[in-house]
Amino acid sequence: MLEVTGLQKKYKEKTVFENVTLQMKPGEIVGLVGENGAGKSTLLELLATVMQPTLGEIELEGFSYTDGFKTIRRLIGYVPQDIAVWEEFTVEENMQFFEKLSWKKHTKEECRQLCVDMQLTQWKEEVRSLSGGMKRKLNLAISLLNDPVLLLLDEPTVGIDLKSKIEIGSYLHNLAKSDGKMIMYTSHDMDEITTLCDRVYSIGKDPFYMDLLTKNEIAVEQLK
Amino acid sequence: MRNIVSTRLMRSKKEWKSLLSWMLLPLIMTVVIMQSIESWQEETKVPVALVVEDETEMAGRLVEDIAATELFHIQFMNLDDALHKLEQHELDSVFVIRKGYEDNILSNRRNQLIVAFSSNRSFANQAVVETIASFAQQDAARSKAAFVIKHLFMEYGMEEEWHYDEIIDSSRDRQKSEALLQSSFSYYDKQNRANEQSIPLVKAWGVWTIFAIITTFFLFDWMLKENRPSMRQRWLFTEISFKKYALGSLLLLTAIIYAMDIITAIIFTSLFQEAFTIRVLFVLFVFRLTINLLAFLLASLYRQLFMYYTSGLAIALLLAVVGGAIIPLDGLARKWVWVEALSPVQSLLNGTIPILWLCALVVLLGVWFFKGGEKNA
Repeated sequence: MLEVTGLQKKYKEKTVFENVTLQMKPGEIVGLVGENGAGKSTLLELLATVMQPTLGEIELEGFSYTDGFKTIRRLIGYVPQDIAVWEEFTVEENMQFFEKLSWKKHTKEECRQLCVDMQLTQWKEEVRSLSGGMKRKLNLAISLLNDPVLLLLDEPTVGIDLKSKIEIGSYLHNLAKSDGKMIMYTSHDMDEITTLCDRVYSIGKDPFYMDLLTKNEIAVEQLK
Repeated sequence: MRNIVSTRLMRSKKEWKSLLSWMLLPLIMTVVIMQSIESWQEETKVPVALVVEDETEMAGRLVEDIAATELFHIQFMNLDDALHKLEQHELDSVFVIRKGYEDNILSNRRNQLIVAFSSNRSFANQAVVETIASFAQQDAARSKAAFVIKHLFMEYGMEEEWHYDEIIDSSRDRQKSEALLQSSFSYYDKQNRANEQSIPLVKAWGVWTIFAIITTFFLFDWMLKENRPSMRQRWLFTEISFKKYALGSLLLLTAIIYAMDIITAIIFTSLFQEAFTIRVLFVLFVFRLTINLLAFLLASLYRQLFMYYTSGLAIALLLAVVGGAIIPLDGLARKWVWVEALSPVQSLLNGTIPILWLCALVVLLGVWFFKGGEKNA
């Protein structure tokens, strides 16, 4: 369970967002949409402990973020917008490298199965020779090594082909519905968001707002 | 630690060519530069031909003395060849140790012992003549002294029988034991070695330190590459933090590079007759640790590789100059003791421990580990 109460983020005098309150239950997929600079990535970074909020409370599985990040970070899988993998390594080497550093230990076969589950089968290929879609899948697979309860994805499908998009979407859907993981997701692709997410929040700026979109509103957004 | 070592080795395996190149470069560059200087020094010696007509012990000793003179490049040949080369200006001077050299000395006849030839381009002839004449005069003077002693014994009717050779040998021993004709600064217990060895123009370890410091900065660029902005967020979600990983990598790399340093020390011993002792290895280890810590901490300050490399090169040159690797600072260090503390290079060259540098860097490492680093939450 994730509970966010009265969250505010300020950069000096500039308020990025304020009074954000939301809840997430296991198995839920929540989407964040909004124009560039509205604060979607900032909200994900706060939830991922990459940044600290100016005000507000966050609790994950009963652990408060104010009590320190060590326990919290074990429960989070964060997939940043930039692909953070070793280009000169093979898929196998990347998985092994991060597996050795992660909290949860896996066998080589388990690591390979994780990749196979998301249709990433080029186990022995160097990452630099892979397509953008495959790199995104690997980026996601590495974030799942800790077996997180909350998965935060910042535009995980940006710039990739439709097939890879569908494969990633399908995998995330299974992850939430079968394994009960909470997934928060930002994207500019309304089709993808509406297909995948149980709830969608629209974030805007000047002044900041964060609204839960209804089905009708989503349809209007799609038409835009 | 096992996981840190294995992940570090995974990274190093991918970059083994560049790692090996950077580790070998100081050794290769030092050997190339030292060999070049040596051959240049050889070329700048005065070419002198010796024609040895007398094959006696005394003539042989004179030849040894002349050949041991550092400024001469001695060539042995017959008179015709020597004069031909002199005419071609390939030689500065030609000296002939004439037949009967020893007999003439022993008979106290000191004229025409050695014949010298020179050309109109023999710029060093005067100096060479004086040097060789001084060796011959030594023999002659010794011989004369022996004559006088023998004569005095005879004149005063003393019974003790002194052999001529005994007097000469005794005179040589005295010269050696009392260092009458030479003196040299030397370290404690290295008296004999200092007398035997020439003072090199450039120290092998001095040249090595310049390249060792530069390459160390290149060997630690992984601190920036592996902690680039996109990767930095990845490290937040690993059991082993980047700081622990970096610290483990620092230790592992120090061990690997130090192994290369030991190989370097062994090669320097065989090529340049540098000392290879436990003390040398310990001083070398402390130097390696100091330089690695410096490169590690400098890399932790930068985000851009170019700025890191530029600063690293500047610091390497500064440390080499201030440490006396390029221009010897022995005089300054004797006058002001603190000059020695300016650079760890000076400590390596003097065989001491750069305690101030080491302490400061260890404190900074502690500050980096417990306080500095990422600005992430």
